[in-house]
Amino acid sequence: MPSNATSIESPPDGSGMPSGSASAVVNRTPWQILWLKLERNRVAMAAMWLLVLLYALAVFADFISPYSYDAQDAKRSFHPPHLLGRIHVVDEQGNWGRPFVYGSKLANVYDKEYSEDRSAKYPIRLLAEGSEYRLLWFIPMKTHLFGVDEPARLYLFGGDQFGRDILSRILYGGRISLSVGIVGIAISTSIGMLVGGIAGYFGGAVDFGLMRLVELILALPSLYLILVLRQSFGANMSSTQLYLIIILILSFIGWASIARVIRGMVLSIKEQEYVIAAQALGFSRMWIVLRHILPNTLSFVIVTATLSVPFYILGEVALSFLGVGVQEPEASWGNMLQAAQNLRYLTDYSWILTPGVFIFLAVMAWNVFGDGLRDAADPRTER
Amino acid sequence: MKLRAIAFALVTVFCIATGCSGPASGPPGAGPTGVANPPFEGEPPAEPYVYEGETGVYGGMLVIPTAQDPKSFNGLTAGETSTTGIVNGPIYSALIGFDNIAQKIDNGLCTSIESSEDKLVWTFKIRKGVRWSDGEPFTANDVKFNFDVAFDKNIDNSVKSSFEQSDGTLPKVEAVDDLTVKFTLTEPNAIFLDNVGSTYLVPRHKWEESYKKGEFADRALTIDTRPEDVVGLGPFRLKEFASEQRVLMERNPYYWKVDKKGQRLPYLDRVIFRIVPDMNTMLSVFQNGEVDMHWNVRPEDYSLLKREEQNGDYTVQELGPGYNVLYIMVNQNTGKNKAGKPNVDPVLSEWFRNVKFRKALAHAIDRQAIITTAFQGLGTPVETFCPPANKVWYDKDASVSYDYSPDKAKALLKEVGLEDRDGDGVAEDAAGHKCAFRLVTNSNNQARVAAATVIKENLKAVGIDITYQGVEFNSMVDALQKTFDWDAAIGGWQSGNPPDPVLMKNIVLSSGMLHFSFPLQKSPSTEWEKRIDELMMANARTVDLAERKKQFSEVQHLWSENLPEIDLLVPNYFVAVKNKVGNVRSSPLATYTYWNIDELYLKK
Repeated sequence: MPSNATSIESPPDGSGMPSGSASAVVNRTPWQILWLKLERNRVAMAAMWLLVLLYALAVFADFISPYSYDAQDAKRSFHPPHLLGRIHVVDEQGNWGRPFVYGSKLANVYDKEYSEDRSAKYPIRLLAEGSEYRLLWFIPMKTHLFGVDEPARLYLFGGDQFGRDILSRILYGGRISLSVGIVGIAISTSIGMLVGGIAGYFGGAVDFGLMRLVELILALPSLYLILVLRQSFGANMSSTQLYLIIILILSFIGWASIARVIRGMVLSIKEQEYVIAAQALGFSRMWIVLRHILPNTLSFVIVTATLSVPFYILGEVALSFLGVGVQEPEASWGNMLQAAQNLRYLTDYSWILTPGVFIFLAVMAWNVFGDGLRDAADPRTER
Repeated sequence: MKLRAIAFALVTVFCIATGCSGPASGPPGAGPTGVANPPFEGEPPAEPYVYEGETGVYGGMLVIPTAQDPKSFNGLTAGETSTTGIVNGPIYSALIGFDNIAQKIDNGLCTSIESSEDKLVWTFKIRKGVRWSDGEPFTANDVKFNFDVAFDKNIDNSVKSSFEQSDGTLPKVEAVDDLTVKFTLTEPNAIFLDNVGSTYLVPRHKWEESYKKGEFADRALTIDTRPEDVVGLGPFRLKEFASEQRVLMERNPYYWKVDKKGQRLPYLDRVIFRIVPDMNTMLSVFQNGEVDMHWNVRPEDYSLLKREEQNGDYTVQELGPGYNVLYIMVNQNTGKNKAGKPNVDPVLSEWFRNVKFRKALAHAIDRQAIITTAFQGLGTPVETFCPPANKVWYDKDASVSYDYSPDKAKALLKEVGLEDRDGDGVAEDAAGHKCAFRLVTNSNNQARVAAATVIKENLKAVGIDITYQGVEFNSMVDALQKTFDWDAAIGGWQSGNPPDPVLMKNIVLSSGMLHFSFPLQKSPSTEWEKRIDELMMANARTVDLAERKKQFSEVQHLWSENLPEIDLLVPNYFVAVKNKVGNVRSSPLATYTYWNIDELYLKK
């Protein structure tokens, strides 16, 4: 971002017109103005940093998480969260020390009750050695941010039915659940802008045809459309294919509303003098749409895109929750919640709902951040 | 608060009042509740079957959940539980009955059953005056017709193979007179009566024409058949079928049993089989009181239900280790499909048909882990399709057990020529084919899905890469029985009733329809299948129990040695029934809580 050294001394003026302020007038680009206004919105900034944190956690999932997402341990099925009173700092002799956990024994296999085995303690180590992985998909490493020595296992957020660490699965699952939003929005926005731009600028039969198509898609209830589209792809697919297909399906639904608004904006922009000038200079129609008209819709598009990221996140969650999205053993926040469909598990092992907290945080953060962006991009608001 | 309570009381009184006065004066067939004489038709048979147990009261509707739509209404030829669990018992009766608790055959529709000294000729005397549910008389010709159909080589059904004799022939069935049926066998059959008892009869007067036209197999008694054409000898008759919703049955007014007070059965006015495709939903509809019984409580739901027993006014019963064996198998079919392509990819087929490969799978899978995670620890590992609960026949010593050992599995895979040559964690053969295939199971069964998850991880550890596919139950049945387009599958056996090995011939014989790993073989494709076939056929015509046990132990040995399927475990069996249902005598054998549906009643 450009320098914002002046932001504290001189209140930026959003309208770009000279104000009554005595300080020197600084020429700022619209982007700088946007950022300055956004920066003053503390809630939006908090949301933004939360998003940065969540995405960072997902990108570095294999380093931060103590285990791989698919490392099972049947003897620790539904292990309760260590965070709930199972991390100790005082040992049996009353000595204070670094945090440690005890090993756990499956006391009752039917109700999955675990007792602590006090015979040995396992300190929580920073930068512990663990399973192999490739940091950022290419640096081979074995070091994890934290962990405990074998044979103990650390379950900060508890374990799932197969004794897999829920925290690790949440972090890995974030890669899918969070990226679906970004990639999906990139695809659907591109399609939406292009279709909306063409419809608005070309007008006539093209406009009529494209807009009826848009209405058709908007008229269908999206969840059913998603399910029908998903069914049409069949079941025999690898997890990567499934991931791409989920994004494709969600983008296919998502582009329509963007296209409609863009078309409206283009209708007014195409009457502007600079467009008429471009036409007079003999540029091709596609060139004018892409180079002169669409960039002027960008501030709107960014705001809309940000606000609709949650749709994609929740779309993936819905598909995976219904069992037609990301398949086991791959983790996504949606398919992790699938376990909570079982009443018994939900009642007795309620920590399997933890991914829901992350879904809530991500969706809320995107919404609040998008809201902040919208306020900042609106030339009529001063703050 | 007070006002609301009064209003509620008023509503209740009103309901009771109308509930009592309505049917008493109503026309017959209007659904009586609490009436002494429900609308029975005609007279009971001269010598009716007398039910000796506790006498119930008439009236009411019982709601039973079921997991899928029936595939047909054909009680005679159906093999899948989605159909048999609904129609066989409630709608159709066999010539003779079976008591699930006493494990004893009863005379059922016959007054007497006699056999010749050499057990080759059997004579069944039918009760006089028995009528089908449409009022037509039931005669020996009906019985003959049913066996003609079942023994027809052009009609696939699960009855035929259990009657098959070692020379490939089937018993001769004759209608001596209207009420006498004679079976002539060429050799003794150990469980001849059990077989007769699992042949559910359909009426000749309805289906003879369609059978003669060759349409019986595909067009008779489908789910589109009009309810009034679904005629049987069971205590209920079909009233309405709404796909994916319910199967509604009403009392068969011609039913042929009476209780010891001389009142005709059944006690219930109506029975609804409510289709609840999801096991979680089944649990919650039971807890909400929307259904009156839950005949398959999953181990993981047991403690949840037990806790609420008092509040919910129901009883949960543990019936011990069940008979439902969970297994995984690979497709050993060598046939070709209609397009002329092999049913199984030739590369995969070569591995699948190699016993070492199957043994590797058996060693690679951690059964105890599946029991702990998918069945909450409430299960027992098994070696063959014969579960430990089957005390008469189960022989652990004769069977080969496979301990969980990824190292042994890897060693065996290496002998097959499969090892990880390029370091990507997946084994490949010398030509570079990756050991990767599909694993299918029905996704509405969470325990099977959970087992699939554990198995995927287990097999990954030995270098086998599995793609899991969850599908609908009926499409899995299609894949296994019709298209043969599958690589590996997780399935389950429910025991035949009674749990005699000969009733499992369908599964065990290489020519059996349910020999899923390679069904309907013209001749056994391997030596051991041939030997198993011989043993099973011999077993069927041996009467001496000790001798039969010896034969069946060898079958268990060959089965576990050669692994046509890898049998994994049996979960314990649990059922739950509302306390208002009377005469409940639950059994881990089909059909669990409602095998005696004609005796069940609702307490007043």
